[in-house]
Formats: sequence, C-alpha cells, structure tokens
Amino acid sequence: MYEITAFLRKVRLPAMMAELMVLIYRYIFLLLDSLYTMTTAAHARLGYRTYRSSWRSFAGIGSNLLTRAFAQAGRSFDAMEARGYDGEIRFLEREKPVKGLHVVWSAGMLAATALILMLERGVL
Amino acid sequence: MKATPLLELRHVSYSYDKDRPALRDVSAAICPGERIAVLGNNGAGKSTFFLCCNGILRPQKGTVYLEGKTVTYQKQQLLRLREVVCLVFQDPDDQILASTVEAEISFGPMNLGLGIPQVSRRVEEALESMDLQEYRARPPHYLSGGEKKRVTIADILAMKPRLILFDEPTSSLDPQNTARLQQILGELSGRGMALMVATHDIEFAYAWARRVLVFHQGKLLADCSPREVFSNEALMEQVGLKKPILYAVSQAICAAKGVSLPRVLPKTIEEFPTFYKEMSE
Repeated sequence: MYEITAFLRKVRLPAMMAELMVLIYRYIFLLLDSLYTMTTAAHARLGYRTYRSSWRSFAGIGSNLLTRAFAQAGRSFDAMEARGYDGEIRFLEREKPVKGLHVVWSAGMLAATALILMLERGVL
Repeated sequence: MKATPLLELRHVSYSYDKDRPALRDVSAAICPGERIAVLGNNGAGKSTFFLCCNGILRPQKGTVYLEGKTVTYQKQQLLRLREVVCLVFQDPDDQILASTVEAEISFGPMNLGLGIPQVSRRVEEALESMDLQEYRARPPHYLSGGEKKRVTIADILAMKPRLILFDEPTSSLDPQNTARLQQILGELSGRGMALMVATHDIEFAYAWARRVLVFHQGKLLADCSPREVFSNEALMEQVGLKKPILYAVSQAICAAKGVSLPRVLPKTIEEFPTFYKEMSE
C-alpha cells in the first residue's frame, strides 16, 4: 500500500492525500473488526430478530462505531506524536529493482492483451 | 554528587476537564538504568502520568525537566523529549499505522530526521532484537497479539530511547507471551535502559522492580522499594493492592517461626526453596 502512495507522491499528488490513503487503509481493518464484533454481540442478544429490532441494532452500532472511530483517532494521534510525528507521514521505502522476470511477464501480458483485442475486433 | 536525573516531574497536575483532576501534585525523578513498577488501580492516573512524561499532555501546573533542563514544549524540545522518553501504548492497534512491519518500525527513525541508510540500519537492528525478521513484509493486522506487541516494542527500540514507558504491557498477552515480555524487559535493563512499567501484575512487579510508584486517585502515594510498599499494610488496603504471593508466604513462614523478615527475601519461585531451607534451620 505504501508503495502506491510513495509512487503517487513522486508524481506530485498532494502529500496529504497520500497520507490519508495510508491512514484510511489501516483503519478500515480496525473499524471492520469493531463492526464485526458489535454485530455478533447484537446477534447474540437477538438484535436482528425482527425488522424493527434490526433497524435499532443498525442505528446503535452505527453511532457507536462513529464514536469509537473518533476515540481511536485521538489515541492513534497521541501514539504518532509520541514517536515524533511532525505533520508528514514518512516510511522507509524498499528499493525494488526491475528484474528480468518482470520484463518478461509485462511483455507477455501486453502481448496477450493485444492478441485478445485483435481477436475481438476480428482483425486476426 | 547525585547524577542529573534523566526525567523529572515537579508538582505536576493535569486535568482532562474542570472537575476531573487526573494528576495532582505529582513529583518524581527517574535516573538512567532504573527499573520502576507503577502500580495503582484503573483511573488512578498511571496513563496520564506517562503521557505527561513524554510530552503528549502538557501539565497545567508544575514543570517537567529533561536531563536537567526545563521542557518548554517547543517543537525541537518535544522532538528531543520523545527521542529520549518513549511510550509503548497498551493497545498495539493504537500505535501501529503502517501496512508492513518494516514500514511501521521505520516511522519513528524517519521522524527523527535520520538519513535513509541510518534508518535502514536501525530497522534491521530492531527487527533482530525482537526476532521479527521473518515478519518484515507482513501486514500488521494479520499478526497475533503477542507479535503485534513485539512490533510496537521494536518500533520504539528503533528510536533508541534512554527511558521506555510500558503502559500495562501484559494486559492482552497469554502466559507464554508474558514470560517472553519479561525476558525482553530483562534484556533491555541489561543494556542500561531505564524502564517504567505500569502493571496490575503484582508478582511481576515484585520480582522485577527495584522501585515502585503507587498512584491513587491522581496522587503519588508512595515512591520507594517494593518491600517498603508491600510491608505497608495501610497503604495496600487504601489503594486496594494485593500482596505478592511469595512475599505473603515469606511473611507467614517468618511469623510462624517467630522471627522478623530477613534482609533477603525470595522474589521468584526458583529462589524460594533456598529461603525455606534457611528458615527451617
């Protein structure tokens, strides 16, 4: 993920957008986890038995998730500051040299795509 | 002549809002290489104390001194403070933000403004010391609780602090990982790092700590050796602390023999048979 953002930064995407992508990607998983556990707990207390109770559970979980997201944001920001965050998120980028195999695969995929297009258009 | 303490808080008070003082007139000095356990029930102010120690929270009253100099909360000073005093948060998910372990560990050193080769070196060293080399390219959300904890410790080690604060490190760990963490703490102490661990694990505090800070309702009630704390029955009851089992057993044996407690008491189960043998003679 951060390879994508590092690349986007190189092509002059505003740093803030790249940082938002990193953070959103990370916290989606945490929030999904919370959503799953809360829904399971609601199921266990028959929260989805009727149409009406399902709506109530949905509303409760939704608002709780929002509150938890804010609380999580506060704690995570504290943790980032505690490690010297100064406004810009920077990670170490691994050097990824282009290997011969990459070239072969890329050329192969391009050729296959071209072949399919030509067959489709009836050129061949 | 006493050495300059690494970190000192004098008469520090902090409130999250008007009628909830989280810390009241707390003063403590931490010197290099110390092993301090911070005890106190939930809500006693331990986490707030830690957050004041590394400059995340600015006390409304009182002063914080880093290596003898007043902390004025300017950007450069805060950066230096956070380089020297690092906090390992209780919940690893609060601390982890990158999508690979390697990138996560590099966050701290990159923020310190180090060059790429140096950051790379520090990341390698941290991975090695926490035995995480095979996890380097893995996303943190797929790791187990114990592995995540090791990642959070590794990314603090990469900042090369002199004082590490652990906020209830064993709270989410199984016994095997707890034992491993205790081993890690021993190694870090051996390297000369000052460590402050907030914990509910009284047995661990008794075995490991050389100094204990006891918090209760925002006040620092005691700052002394573990033995002085555990022999103070009134304090234990006021704060609601349990006595470590080995200490209570040693006390009981000595009481049964009609002798006062000896200078050296068993701190771990391994030391106990020798103590019992001496007492039986």
